[in-house]
Amino acid sequence: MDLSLATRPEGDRTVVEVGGEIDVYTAPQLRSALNDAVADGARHLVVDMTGTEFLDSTGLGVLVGGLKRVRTMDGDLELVCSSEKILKVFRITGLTKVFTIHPTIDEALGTAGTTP
Amino acid sequence: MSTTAGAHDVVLRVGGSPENVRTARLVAAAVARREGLPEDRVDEVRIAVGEAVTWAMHTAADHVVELVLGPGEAGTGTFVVRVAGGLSPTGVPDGDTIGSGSDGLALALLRGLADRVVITGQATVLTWSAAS
Repeated sequence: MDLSLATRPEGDRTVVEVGGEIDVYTAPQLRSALNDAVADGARHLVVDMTGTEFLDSTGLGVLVGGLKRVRTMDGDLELVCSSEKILKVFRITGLTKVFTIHPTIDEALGTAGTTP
Repeated sequence: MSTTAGAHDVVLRVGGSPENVRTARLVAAAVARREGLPEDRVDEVRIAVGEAVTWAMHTAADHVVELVLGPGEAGTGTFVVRVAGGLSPTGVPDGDTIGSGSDGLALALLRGLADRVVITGQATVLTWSAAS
């Protein structure tokens, strides 16, 4: 498959790790994974796109939809991404103003640096 | 629709299944590289062509999308991708595209990634300057 998905709890957050290409063909799988996490009670999602190699407007739409959904439940959806070509997609569409994007999963989870 | 293609052009027809969008992206990237675009521009081509094909696929009556990729007019140093497949007369998809709310994002990406975007009732034409 062109997309790999893995969901795991991390404290009060739920991390959804996305690898491969997110486009019109694979974006529905990401949507399902986010919906499943929310259905299981997750409210603070971290979508880790460290292994994501491609993202198009369909994928952006799924992420925006997920963000809107958890916000209605007082939750949040943050992203992990350090790939310039993917960050560019967020920048061009103005979505860097909408999403909190961390460069690493450790920074997203607040585990970077010394152990608390 | 009639297709005129020069000797250096690549013509690709894909069925309307979403899995074919990736194939179209890969072909576009290969031709862009061949035309001398640097790698960061090839990434832009990949995304923009994917957007245009996704859009055309959603609205094409028979859901077959045709792309013509190749050098622009001689002497212009451009790389041109023409995506045809039944866009609505206004050139903008009506109703939902896949993933509601995405069409504004798709258009923003096309305009932000290609040097020139022309949308007519028949096709979306994307142009890049091959010189970086």
